[in-house]
Amino acid sequence: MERKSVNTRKDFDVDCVASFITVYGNKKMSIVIKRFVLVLSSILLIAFHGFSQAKYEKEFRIKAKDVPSGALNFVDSMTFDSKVKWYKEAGFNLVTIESKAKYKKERYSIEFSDKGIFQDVEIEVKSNKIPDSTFSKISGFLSQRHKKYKIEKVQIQYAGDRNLVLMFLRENRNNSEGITISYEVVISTKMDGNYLMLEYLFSETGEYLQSNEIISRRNDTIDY
Amino acid sequence: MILLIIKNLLKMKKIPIIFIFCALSAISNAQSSYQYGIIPSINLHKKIPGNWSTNFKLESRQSIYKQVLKYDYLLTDVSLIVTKRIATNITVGGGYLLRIEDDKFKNRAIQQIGFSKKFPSFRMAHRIMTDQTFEKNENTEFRLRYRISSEIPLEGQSIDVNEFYLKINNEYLNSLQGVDYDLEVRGVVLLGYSVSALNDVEIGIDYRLDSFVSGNPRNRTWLSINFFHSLGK
Repeated sequence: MERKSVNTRKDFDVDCVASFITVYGNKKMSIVIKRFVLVLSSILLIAFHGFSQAKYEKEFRIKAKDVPSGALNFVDSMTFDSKVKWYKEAGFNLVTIESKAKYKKERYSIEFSDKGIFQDVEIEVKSNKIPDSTFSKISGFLSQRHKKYKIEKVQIQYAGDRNLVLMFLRENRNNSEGITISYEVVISTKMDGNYLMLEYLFSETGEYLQSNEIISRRNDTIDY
Repeated sequence: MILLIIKNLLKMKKIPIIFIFCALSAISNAQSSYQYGIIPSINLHKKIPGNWSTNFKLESRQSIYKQVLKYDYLLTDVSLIVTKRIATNITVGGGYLLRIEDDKFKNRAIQQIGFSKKFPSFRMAHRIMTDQTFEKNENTEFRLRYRISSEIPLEGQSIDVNEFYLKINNEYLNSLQGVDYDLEVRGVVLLGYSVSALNDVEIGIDYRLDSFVSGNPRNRTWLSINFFHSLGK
């Protein structure tokens, strides 16, 4: 009796990872998916675990009913063209309340302590709103510090007694007695080979007070 | 919260959005083909001194439905883009992409310029890109792409750690291969979460419409899952 040798072993070689459909059905496919999900989950787990313990500066929207009455009263006694939005900014050891609104196309930002104590009003303006003598002093200072720069934003800050500031903003903008006026100027520039955004603070007469670098969020989520 | 944001966005851009949706639905109803699937991706970003940045991306495309419900692994893209910041809001760059399909490879050279700007309550970016795809026994495909993107914080005016954000992209891709011209339109809506200063995750819908200039429109809808990790600040 002749016997034929029969190969009972089946070889299911896969040419490349992409060839998923085998006689085992979708087994190979599910292995690849499982591996991919495993790698992705591990990366996400590491990312969540490694950083969820850290504390960060946070700014978030709050409702008017959660705003201290002192802050609410101040803002309610002013007139705006837009809805007033409230924000809470929680830093490492400082919490502030901020309201934002628009009036005559200008952006107002009013800052209070977490107890509702008035701190200042900032109004975003065009640079030509700064008095000529003050602006030339500011420009001179910036030109001395930076070879090349561009003014990105200008804000006038009004600080001092809350009633005086309120009266100044509501009734007579020519009388600034008792109010501290300063100018916040944000510029983009290149320093030591790096492109930066810097925030400068100048007094009413254009004297330099302080400066900070603005650290913005990474761009890779939107650039690529 | 998300619904409120979408509602406000729709209010702001009501007329153009309605027009675009009507136009797209009219196009997509004419003997269209539909495909649904998933596109997970991992992005690794590294800043290099001297205003340089690199981005390594690994992306896989898998189909779940194409006329019938059937899983199909389609391709994997591996890319590396190098960019240089030439102004505060402008970057230029180039890179290379390797596409691994069933039994073939495609090579793509990429050139791009990007503009980004931070507005009081959102960030906007424009990207103009050209690429050339090389494949054995095929004509080189030349593409000119334009993408507009927005990142909108869902809590406050900036995206802080442990906060959600909305990302909206709209891209137009002109393609020329031999004598064949095609236009692809992409619309992407993603919900993002800033896990830490260095990590973000995003999930959402990536809709792509092409072949409508000449031929039957092809509609592809992908579930997009992206992970971004920055190697250092």
